[in-house]
Amino acid sequence: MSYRNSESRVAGIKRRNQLHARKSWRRNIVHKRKLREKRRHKEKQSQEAKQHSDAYLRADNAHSVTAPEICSMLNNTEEFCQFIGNLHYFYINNLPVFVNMKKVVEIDDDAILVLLSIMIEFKQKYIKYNGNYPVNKTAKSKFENSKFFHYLNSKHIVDEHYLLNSADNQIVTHANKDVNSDLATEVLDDATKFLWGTPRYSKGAYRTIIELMQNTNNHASLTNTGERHWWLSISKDSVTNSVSFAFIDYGIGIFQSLKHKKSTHWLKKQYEMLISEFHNNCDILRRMLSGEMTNTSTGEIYRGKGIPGIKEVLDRKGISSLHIITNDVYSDVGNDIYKKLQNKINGTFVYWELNKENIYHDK
Amino acid sequence: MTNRLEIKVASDFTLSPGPRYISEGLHSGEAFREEVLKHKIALAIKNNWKLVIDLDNTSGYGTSFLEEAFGGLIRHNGFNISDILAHLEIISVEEDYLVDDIKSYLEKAKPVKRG
Repeated sequence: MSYRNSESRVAGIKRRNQLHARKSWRRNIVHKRKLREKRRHKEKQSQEAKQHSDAYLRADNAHSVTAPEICSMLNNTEEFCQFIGNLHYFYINNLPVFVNMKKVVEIDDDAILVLLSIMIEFKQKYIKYNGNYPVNKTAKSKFENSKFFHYLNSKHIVDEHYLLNSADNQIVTHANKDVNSDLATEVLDDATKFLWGTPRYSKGAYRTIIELMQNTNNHASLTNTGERHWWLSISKDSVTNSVSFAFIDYGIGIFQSLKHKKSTHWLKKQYEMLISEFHNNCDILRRMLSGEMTNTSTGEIYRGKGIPGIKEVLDRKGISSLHIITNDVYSDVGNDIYKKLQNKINGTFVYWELNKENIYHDK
Repeated sequence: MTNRLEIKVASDFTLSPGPRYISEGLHSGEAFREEVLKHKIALAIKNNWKLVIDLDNTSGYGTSFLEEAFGGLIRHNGFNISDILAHLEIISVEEDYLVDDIKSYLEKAKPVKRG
């Protein structure tokens, strides 16, 4: 083999090697790029998954509070009140919460109102509030359609009106501190138009709303009047052709309000006398609503004033299906059912309905 | 007593009667008493006329509104019950029980001691 041949062979090998190295380098670059893209894609996916995971939502050491399977003030009062009580505990202590709704299979409009009002109270105090959706499709869809999460995700919420929608009805929620009589008229024009086609006077429902607003303004706070918000929600149901109303305040509740009256006030004296006789608030609420609380010094009957006035509205068929839940008492007033609750609520929840059987006057 | 003065709450004050006090919200019983009722009742008593108050065609009434409007005449404006009852007529076709309610608020109201 000549030196020349050997030299050209070496050069050929070198070229092949260089070519191979170049190809290999390119393959390597492409491979590395693909790996990088794959890794980025994976990271993006895991980031998205993380953002939708409970763990992410529960960040900042949020305390998990599990909602009951049936979220309803009227149909599952004990469990729902316990749930509210748990949320209230974290609210009072300024602790962030994560509301676990996964188990929920049924959720009423009144429960959505309660959850909305609680969530907004948290947000107004800048306490973190988050949660997940129910697994149950019907409950999830109702919750999704309610626009609850619209308010949850909005940064600034100090509105007085919150519009919640669901597929088969409409919930309109209002929050305020004053006695807002123009709003009561507006709400009832809307409700009566739904029932009768044109707005009518529903004086019973009007009195009910005014008395409840006045009650919240005057009695819901231990310190000052007009400190607590009330929440009013109306929900129209075209299947039952009725309009339901839910009113809630997170004040101190009827009995706590009686307890904290001045020791010389006759209502406080009467309350103390009755509590020593009956040992529970059920009979006291029944007596109060029926106008059987009397001022022993003057003989004045506590009738037609405030909360008792609402029972008179029910008796006159101005409204239907009146329920009052306050402190440790559940009452279905029309059916004379009064039950002591194991789980108290701080405040007062009142539910009633308006239908075509109720008294109205033409405008 | 042939001459009559009239107050129609719906047209002379509001369609949506509100709370007890001015500080609690719009269209209160206190505002109704101070802006409308006390002047007309004073005029009716002075001239021995009848003051007819028509409560109809409003959205309705809370008890506090009525108690403050009418009971307040005795508590805060120095009227006495016999003068008021002699010169007052309430019309309430839509809620007839309000006539008795108002009478009872007037009977239970006591003048506020001053000084």
